[in-house]
Amino acid sequence: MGWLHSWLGLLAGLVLTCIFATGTLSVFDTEITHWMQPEIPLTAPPTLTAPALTHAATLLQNDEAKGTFPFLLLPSRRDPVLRVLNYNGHAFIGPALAADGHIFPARQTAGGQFFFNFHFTLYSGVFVGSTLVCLLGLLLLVVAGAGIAIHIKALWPNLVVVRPFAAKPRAWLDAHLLTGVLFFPFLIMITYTGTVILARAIFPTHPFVQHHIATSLPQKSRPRVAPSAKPSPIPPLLPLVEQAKTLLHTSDCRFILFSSTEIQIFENDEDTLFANKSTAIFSRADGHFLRVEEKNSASAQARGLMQGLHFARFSSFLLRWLYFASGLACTTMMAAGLVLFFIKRRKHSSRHIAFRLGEGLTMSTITGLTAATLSYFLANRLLPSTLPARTGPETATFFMVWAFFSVHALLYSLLHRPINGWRIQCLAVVILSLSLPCIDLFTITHDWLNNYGLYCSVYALAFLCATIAFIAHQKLKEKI
Amino acid sequence: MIIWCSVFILWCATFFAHDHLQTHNANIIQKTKYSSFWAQILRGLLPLLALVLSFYKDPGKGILFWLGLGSCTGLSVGIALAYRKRRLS
Amino acid sequence: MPNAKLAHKKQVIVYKRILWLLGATLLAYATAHAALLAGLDPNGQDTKERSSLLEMVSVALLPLLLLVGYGARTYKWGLWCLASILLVLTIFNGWLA
Repeated sequence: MGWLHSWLGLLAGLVLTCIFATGTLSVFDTEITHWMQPEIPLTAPPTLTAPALTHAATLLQNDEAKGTFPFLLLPSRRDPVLRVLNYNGHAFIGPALAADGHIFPARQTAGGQFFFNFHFTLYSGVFVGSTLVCLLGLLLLVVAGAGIAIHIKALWPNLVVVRPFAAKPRAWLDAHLLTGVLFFPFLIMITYTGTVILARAIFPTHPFVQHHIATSLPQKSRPRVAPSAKPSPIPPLLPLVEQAKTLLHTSDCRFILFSSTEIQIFENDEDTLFANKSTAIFSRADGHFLRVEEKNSASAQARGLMQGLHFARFSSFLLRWLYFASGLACTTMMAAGLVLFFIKRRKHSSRHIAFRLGEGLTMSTITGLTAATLSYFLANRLLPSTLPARTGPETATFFMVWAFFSVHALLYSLLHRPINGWRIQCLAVVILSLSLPCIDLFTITHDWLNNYGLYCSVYALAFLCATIAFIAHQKLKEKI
Repeated sequence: MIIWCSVFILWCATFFAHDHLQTHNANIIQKTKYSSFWAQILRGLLPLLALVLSFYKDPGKGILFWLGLGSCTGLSVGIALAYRKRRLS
Repeated sequence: MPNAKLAHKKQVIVYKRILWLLGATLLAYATAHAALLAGLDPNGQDTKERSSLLEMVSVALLPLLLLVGYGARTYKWGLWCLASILLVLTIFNGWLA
């Protein structure tokens, strides 16, 4: 089991660390989008008005005429503005509207959606990326099971034992075990639910299951194109939303989808664990009610529970912070495991090229991904806000910085100077982390009191990141 | 919020009690028969009390709060104990 | 024992482990898939929800079976155990069809 845990953990862990890190950030995807669009004020309560919906319907029809499939995201407690969103192949982007119907002059950004897309497709398309992520999820379940089997005897007595001042391998092992054991229920829950959501990708299609036939064709991650038939105009939406609330016995609706003949209004599921939204469907031609689709069967509820637990779209801030902290702990556990793998083998195998390549990749996964994430945030502030197709340069910055850090890490590792490489990258992370609040304050274009809690949280996390990287830099200095 | 603070405190006490009962602490913290007995009681009962408190409002989300707060508290207690043991030794 | 011989012996052990892991993976996947098939209705009456539910069970089974198949390597009964379950499920599926 030790061999299985070590080697499978190394091979899968390099990518899984990235998946967990981006998944952890995705817990606050909406908030990241808010931070990246400071022009949108978020102080007003979520109100749905007729002028906003009328203007949104006009924008939506313009988009439909261009051959895309836009939809409306209605205001909620978490995101109190009306949005007209389009899928660009990786993220849902589009304008945000105020209660009086005017469009906020916000910069274009993929925001938190970028991390969400990276988390479940590795930014490589729904078909290939999701299959890979699903397989890695299964591997993680195997590796975690093997880890528990190895550690089972010391699990109970060493439940809260960590020795950060002990010798290097012991301290890293303790960090790996402490986070692994304490967050084991979260790790298993989040990995299992995530794998179940993508499970269709790994089992073969069966000709006798209708649902399998319908979903067997690979869906490429490109913007969907509307059929050539011109859809009918949209009837007034506010009465339909009010009717939908009554029909669905809910106080809020979340989004509205449009086909050429129907309008589907989905209930808001922020207050429940179950992510199966009931839908009220109306005719697009004249707005008359057609039917309600409810997902109340036991199996639908079970699937809804899996999705609800994984997506964590709860309105409770504390619960989402707990998800964030748990995700961060699991990422730390994997990163500590990767570091430990190389510390244990450095004495006997450091001259092997595979060892040096592995250590370089570990460095690029841990410090490189952190630096790339910080650069993505910085690019949002430094790129001109009126730049056309801004999402492209923003995401390109992320990948370019990551590629640069990876090349640097591999070079230092191959040249037998991995400690120097780690130190330089830690220092770079410190500089990037500290520059984030500074650049944000210098480029700020809005009232600072608008959602100041969000800005304080980002600054605090940036300082935390800088502190950890600085401590790591100083510790590495001691060893030389 | 008061409920979640209480759950956090209960978990803290549980982890401290658990650590007190371990043999690897013998040379740092004085253990008596009396204190061990109470540590056993606390370790068994406090998580149950925390669970009841978590279930009070919403059992579905309550279990997530209970586990999430438990894990985060365990991590905090582990780090706090490491510093305390370093000062004592 | 000379170093070269020791290294060769270690290499053989690693190859054996990889082979065992591959065998366990294949058998675990086939067994989990057979379990999924055993729950599906071959007459085409299955709904999206039912197949999703069966996929949930199969996803839970897959890592467990793999761990049993590989983990019981020391006692040599892991792969036999998986093969037996697979055989039973295959017979059951054949009988259903």
